[in-house]
Amino acid sequence: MMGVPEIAAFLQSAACIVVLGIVLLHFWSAARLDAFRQEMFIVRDELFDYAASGKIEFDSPAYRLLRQMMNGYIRYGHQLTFFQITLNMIRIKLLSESSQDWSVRWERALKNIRNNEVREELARFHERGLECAARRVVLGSPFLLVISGCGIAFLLLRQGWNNLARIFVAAPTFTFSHVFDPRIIESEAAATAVA
Amino acid sequence: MRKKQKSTPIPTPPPSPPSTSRYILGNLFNLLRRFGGTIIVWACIAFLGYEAKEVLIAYAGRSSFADLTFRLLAQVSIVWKLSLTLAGFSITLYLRERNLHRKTRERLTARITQLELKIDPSRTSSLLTPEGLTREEDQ
Repeated sequence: MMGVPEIAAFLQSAACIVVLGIVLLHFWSAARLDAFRQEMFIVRDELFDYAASGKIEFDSPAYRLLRQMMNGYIRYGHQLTFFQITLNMIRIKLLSESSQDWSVRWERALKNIRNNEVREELARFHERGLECAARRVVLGSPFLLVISGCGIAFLLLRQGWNNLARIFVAAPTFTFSHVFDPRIIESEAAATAVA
Repeated sequence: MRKKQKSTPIPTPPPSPPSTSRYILGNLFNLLRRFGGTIIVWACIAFLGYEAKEVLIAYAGRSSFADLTFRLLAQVSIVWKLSLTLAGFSITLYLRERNLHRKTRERLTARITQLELKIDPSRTSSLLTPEGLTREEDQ
């Protein structure tokens, strides 16, 4: 027979779970989404400043493609979750949709830039955008967090303790790139920005 | 002098409509993507509600409601009360800060957009609301 202390413990636990559920599912996810968009806006603003400094034209295909991808990530950041991406990947595989247009165009546009310094800088902007997206997806999924732990162990074995800080920064991107195909996700993001 | 011949663009055929199975699968995945998370959360809430009902049924008729409430309240520990108060304060502070951020974004966005459009007239937008939120049609 269940006594009053047990019922009290049950109700307290239930209330805690409800509060925790509201905090995690509503407030925490909203705060993470805001933080992700903020980070992506920072990268996009820096890209704009870079173009405004005259190093690359605003109508250069590489600049426009990068901005298009970032706009897509910002606009549909709320759908950038493990669950949504997995369903998207399954859909693409099942319906055999080809979805790497953006990557192909991006690589072509990058090759057409003659100045090495500008090319490297744009590649760095692209990498930073991908890092933001990877952090959002990996740190928001318990499953990917576990995989990321394995990724950290692997990188530690390969690169040693000297690069520990760098490894922790690179781990989400490493995990993200090995679990999903970033080219498809970037193309989807860019496509949604156009639509 | 010969006039340059204008090249006429080759008309591209309109994309063929997807087959029925592809259409159904595509829509099914869209629905799952959109409502899957909500369904899981509500299923968990329903399960908790069911478990709570079982507990209350097991205790029904053995004690009066007033007596039970009084004894339950007596069982609530000070740690639990403090935790709940702290959580309440934290959430209130967070909501206040969030509203301030939204107001700041709303105040600055239009000006930044205008200034950037002067430098790059073909500037593209992320299409968020002025407060930096997802538009309803993008949900």
